[in-house]
Amino acid sequence: MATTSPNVNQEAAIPFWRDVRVLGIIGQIIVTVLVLAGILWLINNFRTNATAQGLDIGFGFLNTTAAFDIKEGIEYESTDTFGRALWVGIINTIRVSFIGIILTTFVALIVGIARLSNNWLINKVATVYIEIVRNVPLLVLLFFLYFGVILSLPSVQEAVRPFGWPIFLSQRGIAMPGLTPTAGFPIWLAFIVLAFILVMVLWTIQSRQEERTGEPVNKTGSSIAAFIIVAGVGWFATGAFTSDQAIMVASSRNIGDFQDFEPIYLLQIDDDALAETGVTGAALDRLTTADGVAVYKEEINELLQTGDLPEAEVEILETRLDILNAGAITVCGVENSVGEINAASQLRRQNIPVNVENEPTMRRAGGVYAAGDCDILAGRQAELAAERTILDDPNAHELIPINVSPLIVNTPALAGFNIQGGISLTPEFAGILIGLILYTGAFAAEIVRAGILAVSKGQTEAARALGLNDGQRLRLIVLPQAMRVIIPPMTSQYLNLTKNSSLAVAIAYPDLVAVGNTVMNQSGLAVQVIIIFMVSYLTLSLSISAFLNWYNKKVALVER
Amino acid sequence: MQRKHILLSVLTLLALSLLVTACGGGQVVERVVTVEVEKIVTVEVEKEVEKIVTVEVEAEVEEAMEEAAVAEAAPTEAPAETTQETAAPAAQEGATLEIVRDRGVLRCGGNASVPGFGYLDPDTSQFAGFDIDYCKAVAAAVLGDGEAIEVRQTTAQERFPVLQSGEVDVLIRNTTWTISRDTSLGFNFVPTTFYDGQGMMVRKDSGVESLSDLEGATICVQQGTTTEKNLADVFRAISVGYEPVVGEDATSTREAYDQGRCDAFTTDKSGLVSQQILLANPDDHVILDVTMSKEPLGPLVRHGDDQWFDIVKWVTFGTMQAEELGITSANVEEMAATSEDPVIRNLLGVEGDLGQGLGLDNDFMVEVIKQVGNYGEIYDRNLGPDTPFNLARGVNAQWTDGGLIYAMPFR
Repeated sequence: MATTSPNVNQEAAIPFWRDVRVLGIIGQIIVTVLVLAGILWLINNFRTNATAQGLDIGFGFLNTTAAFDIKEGIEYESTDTFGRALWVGIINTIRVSFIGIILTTFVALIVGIARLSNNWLINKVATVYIEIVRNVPLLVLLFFLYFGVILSLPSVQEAVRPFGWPIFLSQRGIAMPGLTPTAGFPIWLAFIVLAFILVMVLWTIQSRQEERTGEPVNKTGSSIAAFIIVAGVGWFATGAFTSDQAIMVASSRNIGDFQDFEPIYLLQIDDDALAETGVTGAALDRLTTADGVAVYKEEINELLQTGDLPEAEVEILETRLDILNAGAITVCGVENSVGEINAASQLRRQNIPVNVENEPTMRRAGGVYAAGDCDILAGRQAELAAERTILDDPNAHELIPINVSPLIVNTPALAGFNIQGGISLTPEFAGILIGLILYTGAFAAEIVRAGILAVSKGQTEAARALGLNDGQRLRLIVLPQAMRVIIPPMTSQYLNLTKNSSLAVAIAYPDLVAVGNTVMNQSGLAVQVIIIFMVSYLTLSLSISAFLNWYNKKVALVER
Repeated sequence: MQRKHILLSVLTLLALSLLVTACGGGQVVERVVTVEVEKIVTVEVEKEVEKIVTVEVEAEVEEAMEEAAVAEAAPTEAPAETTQETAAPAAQEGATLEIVRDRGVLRCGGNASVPGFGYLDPDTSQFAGFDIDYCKAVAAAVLGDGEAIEVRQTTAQERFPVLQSGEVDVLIRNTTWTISRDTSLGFNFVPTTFYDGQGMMVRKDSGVESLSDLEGATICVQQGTTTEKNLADVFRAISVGYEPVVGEDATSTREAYDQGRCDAFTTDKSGLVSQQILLANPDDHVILDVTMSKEPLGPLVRHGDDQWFDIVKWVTFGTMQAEELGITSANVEEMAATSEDPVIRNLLGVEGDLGQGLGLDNDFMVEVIKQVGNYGEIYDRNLGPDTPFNLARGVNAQWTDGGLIYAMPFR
């Protein structure tokens, strides 16, 4: 016969309100219900009051036209929607956070290891840096960097150009030449891939040859040569055969290519007016080439910058500058298009001043050209042909095809109020990036130092006993073990950096919070925009910590 | 056994959650009903509802709903009917007046960094300005004491949520009256106290004379304002490209312009005049003779309280009417005592009971004019010839002098 086990009787003896497991479950369910009820009450409260005031509930406002401009970021126009504006803000935040995290890691490693150095100076410098920056609030640091340091750089008109290169350093940021891909770029990339494959094949063949004959073969040299040959051939071939660019000019000007603009420019300078201001024969002779004019303008600018000239002379010099600049060639085109950049660069290379008329579309640029306000209309051949057909007198204008290489250089130049062209780093981006890196780097450096100190001294001594030098010891023995200790707090610092980037609004960098503030004001819907903030930062933070947790597991030492 | 315990606990919890939902759900039902009656009864009734027994309110709400169905075409009848309900408080009276009176102090949302309009003087630690004076005027009317105000300085980000949430009673912060703010943001604008326009300030030596000269320029503007929006719209209309630098508040925007980060600075013309004083070299800058948009500035209150809206509106009109009639802070008491002109007597409450319709004493305007002054005095004290601004009245003159200041009749 079956005997009832004593366990069953013992269990039946405990009443359910004293059973720990049951109480645990009841407690959890009660708390869940309370929290849910609280959240529901909050939501209901908001909905009732918002409806009472006639406010919109829901996210339909994201489709309304934004009607404000954002200075930097991905493509955006004031006729885009609020949703697009917020997306631009998110991308800007990600940009700053991503670059900030990478550079902070470098700073942290360097400064953390420096603080452990035996060299007294390096050690003290690192210590002072950490102690000072850790004790300054980030907002104060940002204000100091932006208003105190960056905006105190020379103004745009007096931008510093190191070594005379086309790099402009001023309070409006750093502008340097950039590379713009043209239509032939993807084809050239194919050539590059081909070159790589060729190099690998060549390498394999030559390695086998080495093994067979036993004599060393210059593999590196021949690989480089092969690569350059194929890439070079690809460069010129693409330039010659796939270029779809052209310029439209008036036929009467007899222009064959960009070189022919120099005489036109020189003609447009009013020599008589110059003579009136006192420019005599010898000086006028110098002004027969574009280079000569450029040198002359430099001299005038230098004189003006000294600042201690009488009023009358300053006026004369400025009048001369105006006359010289009046001959500038005007280029019309679509903003940041290949044609416009190419035309401007080609002309500037010959020292011809260029006026660039930016338009958002080719139709508008064509309109400006038709009105006679520009000398050149630059763009794709097909587009220009279309614009030509709607001109009053199509035959008075001709299309000149232009060869462009797969990558063209986009040179910056001072034009009017700002620097046009090139790629630029705005002072706001620089300010928030440097501020975040300095601030977070100080905290992160201490974490690195803690991690390194956490590795037992025995490891260091054993490494030295084996004959490893300091660099090898750090790289191969200490840091891999320190990573375990470093990564979890480092994740927090990265998250701090991402969230601290929201302070960018104080120095006019259009990150998510800055753009969101404008959206809040224009739409009046604060709660919805704050929800978007929360969701965005939460997503970013969770992604970063998920990635770092995975990485931590991967590099963790497997313990038994 | 195990299963029995779990079954019992689940049943208990089910009962608990049903209870909680029932309570919460009941409130939801009440609220929804109240919202439907919104057309006649103001939302403040909700708060009153919680003080009164549930049953009473449900009965009243049902009656009011029937009246709403009947009187929808004639909303003016409804207030009279609902005020006859003795059990509920007079539905047309909003809670804001009650709340302000109970609190004893008026909370205004204002500015602290726009000299002349809303400025926290660092030397005296007092708020002063055109807008602050209107805050004092409302306090004088409602509480009898113009100094019983709490000015909450607000940034562009928080000025609207602060009014929407009820943290302040009125927002007087040189805010432009636009359709979107009046409707989708849920505000009511009282009559404009300052007609302004958007302008542009540039450096004298830049040689800029019109907006087209600013092609490719960098322009400083404050975030979240109508100026930011207008800048984009106007420059798009004239096809001029520019780069905006959007500062968080007036101070950092001005600083960025002053240090040379921008070539131009745009905001309301009155704002430009007041910020120019704070620049390093005010004489190096010039305000262009261009008006980019209309910017009628004035106080605003939130939707849902008609009585409070009327109070702020008629206090504003009162100051304008007082200037038209020649009543100043110096002679208001004498005028109240001795004037025979029925218009003046009505305004100052000597005749008629105009104050009652607002829930105030009939002589509320006497306190306002005595403690703060009429429109002209407020203007002169903050923006007039004795101040660094010296702004001409221009369109802000009385209608009798060719301006736009026109008070509605007090009768």
